[in-house]
Amino acid sequence: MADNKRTEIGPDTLVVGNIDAQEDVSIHGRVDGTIRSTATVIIEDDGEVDGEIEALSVVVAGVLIGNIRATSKVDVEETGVVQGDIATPVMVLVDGGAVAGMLVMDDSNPQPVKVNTAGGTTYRPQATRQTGSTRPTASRTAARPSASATRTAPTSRGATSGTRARTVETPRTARQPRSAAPLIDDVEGPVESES
Amino acid sequence: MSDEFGAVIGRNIVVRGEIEGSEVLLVEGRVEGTVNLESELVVGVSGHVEADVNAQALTIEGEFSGTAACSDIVTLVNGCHGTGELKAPRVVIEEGAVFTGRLNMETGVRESRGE
Amino acid sequence: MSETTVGTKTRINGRISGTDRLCVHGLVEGEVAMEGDLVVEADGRVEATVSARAVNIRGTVNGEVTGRDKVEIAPDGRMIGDVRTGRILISDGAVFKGRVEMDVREG
Repeated sequence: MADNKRTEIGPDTLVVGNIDAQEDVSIHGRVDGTIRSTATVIIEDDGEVDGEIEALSVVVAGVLIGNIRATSKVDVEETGVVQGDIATPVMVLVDGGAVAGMLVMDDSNPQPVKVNTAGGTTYRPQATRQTGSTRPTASRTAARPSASATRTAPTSRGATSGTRARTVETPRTARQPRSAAPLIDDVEGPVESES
Repeated sequence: MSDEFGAVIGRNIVVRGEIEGSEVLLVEGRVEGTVNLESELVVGVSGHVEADVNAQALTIEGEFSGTAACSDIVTLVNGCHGTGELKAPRVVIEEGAVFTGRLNMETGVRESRGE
Repeated sequence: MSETTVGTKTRINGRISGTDRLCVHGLVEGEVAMEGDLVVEADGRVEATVSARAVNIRGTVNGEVTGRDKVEIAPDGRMIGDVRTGRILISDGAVFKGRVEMDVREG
């Protein structure tokens, strides 16, 4: 409450849907859906996102299953896991972090991230996610014990398999422009890339 | 790790074909083909490697294109330029390194994807 | 107790659930189903079906609100929609349009 400069998803919160922000977004809990920000999206080490991220910069210390498009930089920290494609002009992967997917580092003409925080679209519960909200948090396996130690809920493979399979079977070239994405109309100034 | 080199391919050397060995190899020249090392391959700042690499470790300071499968670690150093596919349990990308291609690391979530 | 904050320049369109306290400065559309409290700050707007333990409205809420413990509409609060709760406080100056259904225990 004291800090209203950023959005923070608490460790015991689940968001199923989309987050659009013109400020930093920090995730300790879980988000199933698309996150767009004209600033930085941080998946903290206790955070997990199943969906796409578009932002100026992205820091992954937790788990992301989905693609990233960053116009400035992506940092994957020691505890970070990305299962998906990454498009960014600058990328740092710290020893211990894991990435499985296409990496496209191309600083030519990055499209600024556009977000609409004014509202007006209708919430469609099934639009982004097939699974229900009670799906338990997927944790990393024993191969990455340091990270899974911070997780509270055990993996339920049966419950998550449908979504995982979707992620696998629809690999998208991260470079693919997303300018046709919905929810884009109210832009508060373009985001400049450092490149 | 890259302090001592058992072998160096100098700036003005071009190797096409297959390289095999068990000591550290520094490439400052050009290598095209296949590299199988039980130790580390270092693509130096002036090095240019277009190869399928099997090694314990791969450090890229110069240019690399191809596939690399390492049993330990791949390091992309600031200023390097790589394309292709990297597979290793550990991959480090320094700020300023450029790579376009596929990273195949064990993320732990793979197994829970079902099917 | 941990907290989820929806920042001033953020919109969440979807369903928010969990046991954290939820504090809204920006815009939430869809559904809020918290086991903890919900505070809609003066700069916050909620267009959603809401259920929470205690609901404190200092900003704007449009939608059906269930406050298991209580619902409070502050002097600057604005609420349009039906309320179902155990206790309700509508402050002088608050705007409220809707029905109130209180969970009255027999006796």
